[in-house]
Formats: sequence, C-alpha cells, structure tokens
Amino acid sequence: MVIKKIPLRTIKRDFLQFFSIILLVAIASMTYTLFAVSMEDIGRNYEMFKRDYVQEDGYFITSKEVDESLLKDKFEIDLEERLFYETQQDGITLRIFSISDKINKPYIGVGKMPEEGEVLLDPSFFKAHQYQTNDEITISGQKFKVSGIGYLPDYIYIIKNDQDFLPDPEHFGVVMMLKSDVQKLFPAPHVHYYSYKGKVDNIEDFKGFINSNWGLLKFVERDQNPRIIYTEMKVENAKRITLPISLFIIIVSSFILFIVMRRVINTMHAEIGTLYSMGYTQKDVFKVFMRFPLYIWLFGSVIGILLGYVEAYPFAEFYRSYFTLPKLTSFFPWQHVFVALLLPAIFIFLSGYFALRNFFRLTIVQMLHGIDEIKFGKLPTIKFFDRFEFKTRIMLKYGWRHFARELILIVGILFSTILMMYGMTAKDSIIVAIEKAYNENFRYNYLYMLNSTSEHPEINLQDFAEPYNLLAFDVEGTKASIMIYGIKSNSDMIKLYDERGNEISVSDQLIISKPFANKLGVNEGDEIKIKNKFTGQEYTLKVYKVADLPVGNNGYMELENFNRLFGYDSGEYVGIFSKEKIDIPESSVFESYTKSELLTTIKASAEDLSKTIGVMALIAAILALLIVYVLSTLTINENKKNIGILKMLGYKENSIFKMVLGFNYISFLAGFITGIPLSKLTMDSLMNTATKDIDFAMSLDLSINSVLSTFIILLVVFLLLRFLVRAKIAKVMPVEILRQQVD
Amino acid sequence: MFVKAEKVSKIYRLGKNETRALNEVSFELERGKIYTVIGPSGSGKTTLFNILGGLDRAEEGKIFVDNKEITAMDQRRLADYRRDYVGFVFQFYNLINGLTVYENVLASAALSKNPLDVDMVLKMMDVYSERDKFPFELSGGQQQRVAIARAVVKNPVLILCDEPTGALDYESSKLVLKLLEDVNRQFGTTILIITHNLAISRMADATLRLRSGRLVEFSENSQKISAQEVTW
Repeated sequence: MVIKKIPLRTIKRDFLQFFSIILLVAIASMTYTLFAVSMEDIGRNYEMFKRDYVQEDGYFITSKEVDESLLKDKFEIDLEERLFYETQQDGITLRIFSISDKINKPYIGVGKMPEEGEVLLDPSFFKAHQYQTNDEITISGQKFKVSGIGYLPDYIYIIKNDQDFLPDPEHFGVVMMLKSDVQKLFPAPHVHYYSYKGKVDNIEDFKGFINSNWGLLKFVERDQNPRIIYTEMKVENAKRITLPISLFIIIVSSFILFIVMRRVINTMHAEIGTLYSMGYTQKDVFKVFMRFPLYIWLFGSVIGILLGYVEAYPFAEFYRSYFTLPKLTSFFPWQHVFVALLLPAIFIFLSGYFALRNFFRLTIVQMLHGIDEIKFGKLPTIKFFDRFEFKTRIMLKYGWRHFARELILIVGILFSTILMMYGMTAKDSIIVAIEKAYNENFRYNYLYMLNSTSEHPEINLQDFAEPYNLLAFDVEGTKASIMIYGIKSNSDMIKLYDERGNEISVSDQLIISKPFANKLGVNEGDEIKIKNKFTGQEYTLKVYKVADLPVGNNGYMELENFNRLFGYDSGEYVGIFSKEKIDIPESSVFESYTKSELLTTIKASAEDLSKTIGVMALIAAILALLIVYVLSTLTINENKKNIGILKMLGYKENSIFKMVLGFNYISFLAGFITGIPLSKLTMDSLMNTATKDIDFAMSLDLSINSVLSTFIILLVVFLLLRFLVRAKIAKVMPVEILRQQVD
Repeated sequence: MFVKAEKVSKIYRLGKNETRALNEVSFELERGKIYTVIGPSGSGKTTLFNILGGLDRAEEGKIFVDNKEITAMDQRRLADYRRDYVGFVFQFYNLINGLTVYENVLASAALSKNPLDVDMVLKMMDVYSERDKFPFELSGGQQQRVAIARAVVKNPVLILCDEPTGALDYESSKLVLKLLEDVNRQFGTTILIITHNLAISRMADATLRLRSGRLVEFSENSQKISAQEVTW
C-alpha cells in the first residue's frame, strides 16, 4: 500500500517535533539499558567472584591465637588465619595481608600470583600510584617486586577504617604477599585475624566462645562489613531507581505522543476522510497511522538500546573500578534488551491507539470537513478568570484549555527537579555535611583505637587528649547496630548539638545520632533494646536526646557512667581522641587515623561524585528541555490561526507570547516548587529502603545551595527554550489565517 | 436507471433542534451523462453528495446505484461501494500531503479491480511532468487536476464533484471542466457536479435544483454546450 509512506514522510516534515519524542523514548530505553545491563554485568561478576574466590561470612580479631580445629569442629565452619599488618610511610598506609588458600582468595587481574619477594597491589592503589608490573615497592624498608593486581572478595570497597565513607587510594592501599614474607616483615603479630566461611546458627554463642577463650577484639559479620555491603547497597540502589526513571520518561513520552498524534490527526482530518472516500477501510487507515507510534518506538528504543548497550560496559567498568570488582565473565543481556524494547512499546502503542481510536469514532463526513478540535471530555468554564484584564484572562484560559499538557509540563519539571536535586544533595550530604561534622562535631585531629580496654598506665594523657570507651551493640528487632561511645561530660573533642543548634550536654543518658534515630524511627524519650555484640548481654536504654549528626550509627554517654553501666572499672578506656599526635607504644594501638586523612579522602572523591551529578543534571536538563520544547511548539502550531488574528488586530509579539504561552511560567514554578518537598521525600524513602537491612545510616538534607542551583539550571534551560519558541511566534504571519481557512 | 433515489431524507439533530437537510428527494440519473446540482447554501447539495457517495447515510428513503441499494449497505459494503463505483473530487482537493502526485493517484489505483494506467491518466490531466512533486509544490489548478486523476484512475462508473472549481481561477476552472467532460466522453463515466456556478449547468445533460432540502426542479438541458464554450 502506497499510503504506508504517509507516516514516515509526515515525521520527516515535522521532524523536530517527532524527533523530540523519539529522543525521549531513546533516553528512556537508554537509561533502562544502561543501568540494567551494567548492574547485571556487575551483579553477575560479583556473584561469580564471591563464589569462586570464596568471600568470607565474617572475620574476627583476637588477642590470642585461636585453636582453629576446635572452633571449626564446634561450629562447623571453615576458618583461615590471615596474617595482617599495617605500615605507614610518607603519609600512605599500607594494609598487608597474607595470601589465603581457602577464604578470600585473591583474583589476579593483571600479572601473576606473587612468589617470594613479590606482592600484589589492590587495583585502585596500583592505578593511583601509576605502578606497572615488575616495579619495585618498599614496605617497611624492604623492597618487593609488584607481580600484578589482586582483587580481594572482602575488600571490594577499599576503605581504610570501617567508619570511612569514601575510598582514598592516594593514601591507602591493600598489599597481598606470601605468608612467609609477612612473617619475615612482622615476626611477632600483636593480634590474630581470622576469616570464616559457613553459617553459624547462634552467633552470640560463637562470639562468646571466642571471647572467653582467646579475647575477642573485633567481630564483623559479612552483612556488617562496609567493604562488602557498600557495593551491594550501591548496586541495589541503582537497580531500584532504574525502572522508575525509565518508566517515568516513557510515560511522559507517551503522553506527549498522544498529544502530538492528536494534532497530526487533526491536521490530516481531510486526508484521512479522503482515504475513506477512496474506499480504504478503517483497518487500512488504522494500520497506516499506527506506524507513527511504530516508527517512534522503533527508532527511539533501538537508538536507546544501542546507546545504552554501548555505554553500559564503560559504565560498568567505571563502577567496577570504583568498587574494585574484577570482570570474570562477559554475557549478552537478552532479557534487558527485551524489556528495554517492550517497555516503551506498551506505552507508545497504547498512546497511539487511544489518540486514533477517538478520531475514528467520527463519521467520514466529520473527518472530511473537520471539526474545530477533537475534544476528549469538556472542561468546565471558570468564571473567576473573567475578573482579570484581557491578556491575563486569555493566558489563564489557554492554560486551562490545555490542562493536560500543562500537567505534563508540571510533572516534567517536577521530575527534572527531583533528579537534579538528588544529584546535588548527594554531593552536599556526603561532602559538605561530613566536612561540617568533622569541623563542628568531631574536634579531635587524631583518633586512636587501642588493643584493650584498661586504665592504660603506659599512656600519659595530656590536656590535648581525652580517653573514650566504645562498645558495639545490635539493636533488637532490626539489622542495625550501634556504636556507643563513653566520652567526657565536658568533652572538647566531641560536641553534640540538637536540630536548633543548641549544645547537648553529655550525661548518664544516651544520645543518638539523627540518621540512626530516623532509621530506627525513634524519638527522644523512646526506649531501645540493645545487645552487646561480643557478650550478648541485653540492655534497655532510653533515648535522651537526638544529636544533629549527618552520618553514623552512633550513641554517646558520659564515660564513667558508660563504664559503670557496661561493667568496666572506673578510669578504663579503649581509645583516645587527641588534638595532637601522641606517642603510644605500637603494641598498644589497634587502629589510628587522622581527621585530615579523612577530609582529604572526601575531597579527592568529590571529583568522582561530581561526574555522576553532572550526568544526572544533564539528563534532567535534557528531559526538561524536550518536554518544554515539544509542548510549546505544539501550542504554537495549533494556535497559528489565533496568533495571526491577534497580530492582525495589532497585538505585539510580547503580548501574544504572554497570552498563548504565559501559563507555562506558572506550570514551571508549580513543578519546581512541588519538586522540592518531593525530592526530600523521595530521597529519604530511597535512603531508608536502601539501608533498611544494612548497618548504615545517613541523612540527606536539602541545602539552599542545591535548591538554588537546580532552580537556576532549570530556569536557564526553560528561558533558552522560550527564546527559541518566541522566534516561532515571530514567524507566524497574519496571512496564516487565510491559509487556515483554505486548509 | 443507473442511479435511482426514492424519497431520500436526511435529518441533522443538534440538541432539540432538527434540520431536514434533505426532504423526500427523488430522482433518476442515466449512465454516462453529466449532471449538475445547484442551489443556495444550506439547500442540501453537499448532503446529497455525501449520501450518493456512501460517505453518509440517509434517514429515510432508498438509493439504488447500478441496481444496488446503497442505503441498505453496512459500513464494510459501503467501503466496497466507494472503492469500486465512485470517484470523488473535492473543492479543496484533499490530496495526501505526505505522498507525491504519482503516489496520490497510485493510492487510488491500487484499490481498483480495473484501474487505468496511472501515467496515462496523469498525461491526460496534464500533470505528468509534476508526478514526483508533493501537493504543496503545486498550484491550486494543478492540485485539482491531480484530484481528478485520482478519481478517474479507478475507472469508476460515477464521479462526484463537490464545487470542483470553487477554489480556482477562471482559466483553471475552465481546464478542470474540460477534463471532466473528456473523462465523461472517453470512459462513459457518469459525472455529478455540485456547484454554485450556474454557468456550469450549461455543459450538463440535466440539472437538479435544490432548495431547503427539497428537489424543486429536475431540468434536462436540450441546449447542452461543451465545457470549452462555458463562460461566466
């Protein structure tokens, strides 16, 4: 049928209008493909890595050497000691592990398994310091040859301390070497590090048994290990937002297509009527006009899938390098390609079908002679509009008449606002808020975690240092855990404030951080039941105050009360906050870090985050741009006749613009203003869902900066488009009226 | 009789108001002749055109074309009727903007069981040299000639023209009328022309005069002149 050519030719004729919809569909398909394929790629490779290289189910550190066979037999687990040591040189901390045979085996990404005198480096550290295989590295004064890059299943997210939020390969790296080499470097380990694999039925018995026999210093289950779960959380998060974002874009595209199709059909009413008069049946005509959605779907989704597919692998690589995950296998994600094809098809075809169905209800005579506008339900007249002066009245009436498309504009701007705000807030919360917290709340410059809880007579605490005690607890009824610090009542190192900025004095009662309170859903005055992670002893504590801290599952109380409550002697402590560096015997220190190290890490990672934010802002801006462009162009095309009449009557372009498209400003503002609280709601709900089952809490707060930046970016895009659309109004000549009479 | 209308009525209802667009109109048309329908605006000319062409339905009465009762046909059979029997020419041409001149005519030919050669018809209408152009690239007169080509190429037995010269200048109108006359002579097609232009009636074999939905006059033209001679 030669009439099959009509849709493609019409698309070519009104190219920009259709291209915008094609682009929207392409973005939707691309977003879905990009996230789904890259996350599938990461997910599959991660699962394979976990399985084949035996990721631990947990690790623990003891002060004495464990009787491995006793523990293995009693709890039916697999256990392996891993020698580890930390060394610092030139501001760089290296954590050295012996290469395991059974649990947490390294995957060699580049190079080969090290022999004597050789080491593997973690990929981020290797890259950050521009090492090559066979280069030399000096560790504790001894030279080693770099045999390659090694990935460890329990060090996917390579942070130095459990509390760290971002990796810092410039200043921290993981080194893997033979056991014999670790022994030569550090012959007398102060502590013993064990990884275990296997399901332990009663974890409290397990911990209690280890503690009573060999002195448990640290116990971390797999699900509480940030080096593992951060990755899983981020992948889950990405998976969770993939479908809603893609679906939203597709639905918006479908609505716009519906409006455009209606317009196309309206302008072609006589042609369609003629096709009928020539003897074509409704089925013939329907088949031809359904090619509009077919082409839009085909071009859009194929382009989108191709772009998404091409981008997915570099994107997965970027994620992989961020999490230091190896690539073990390649695959073609048929199911995602299928979904990326099918998802837009459903909405686009439905939209096309409904636009056509309404038209085909007309008689042939109505089609041939045309009716002013095919209305799908009448809107009531609003008398209130008549109170305004003429131009404003017309503007309001135009907006009301095109209520559906104004609604799409509102939703589009709203969505762009949420997307952009999410990106901006991620940056604010993670970087600015943490920086702020470390300047205002955590005023120490050095933090030392000691090997044992005692009075530590070997350490001379001066004025610039304060002792603290610390215990980890599980919160009953949740998977969350809390670190409770015992600190000095008038501490100069930890300052806590409530939401109004008033300082909270530390007393015998529990103060918890805001994100943790949010996560548990508790308020001041509520009680929480907690269980000591090592001993299993239970406590019920009342939440006295909630401190405005941006991140952390932390609780605070006065040190002496802490000791009394949890069974320690007066004057005992496990760590030191200090303004200055303290000389502590190396054998007493378990972990230490400086605040400046942490802040450097945050700043270094800001660049990576900025890229993600840039991509989000770009997608949001393009979306807003396309939606505003298509809708404004449509309105002008539909109203050429009216614009011509207004010009003929002597109205200036400014006034005409205000009357025909002025309502868009109201819609833009409505979308943006509604977007602000919705952004907060969406982010909170996303963060709560993402951290529901894991041991992490953080609050995302909108800052005035992110609100303003989002507004400015969207407004610039909006005004730019208005400028372009205005040019279209200028081109409409009064003679259009005569042409319309003929058409 | 080729076309026979018996007491055909059409009522348009708008709320409580009723308008009788056609009121018990009866007439007979012979095969191979040219007829004109004249009358003031609102007299029912276009309604008659629509019903005869199978685009609309009569409320009452019967119409037979080639002994087939089109008023009794369902939508599918009406589509077949339009496809096999009727060619339409509209005042504003109604060409398909997305198709070239050739394709516009081909779209019609493709439906016919017994089509004429597209190029031959284009040459006959003197638009062959424009065959690859789109409608918006043509003048009004050229567009109307393409519209006639589209109607003729199906080789229909009846061509219905609704104000075919209404949007054209004098010279173009004369050319269009001549082409319609040529088609009638060459293919024996019955042609019914709806017009405001009384002068056109002079080239017709008979004229139906409508007023307020009623057929007030059916006059045979004993002094028929050629299209070439028609002037106004």
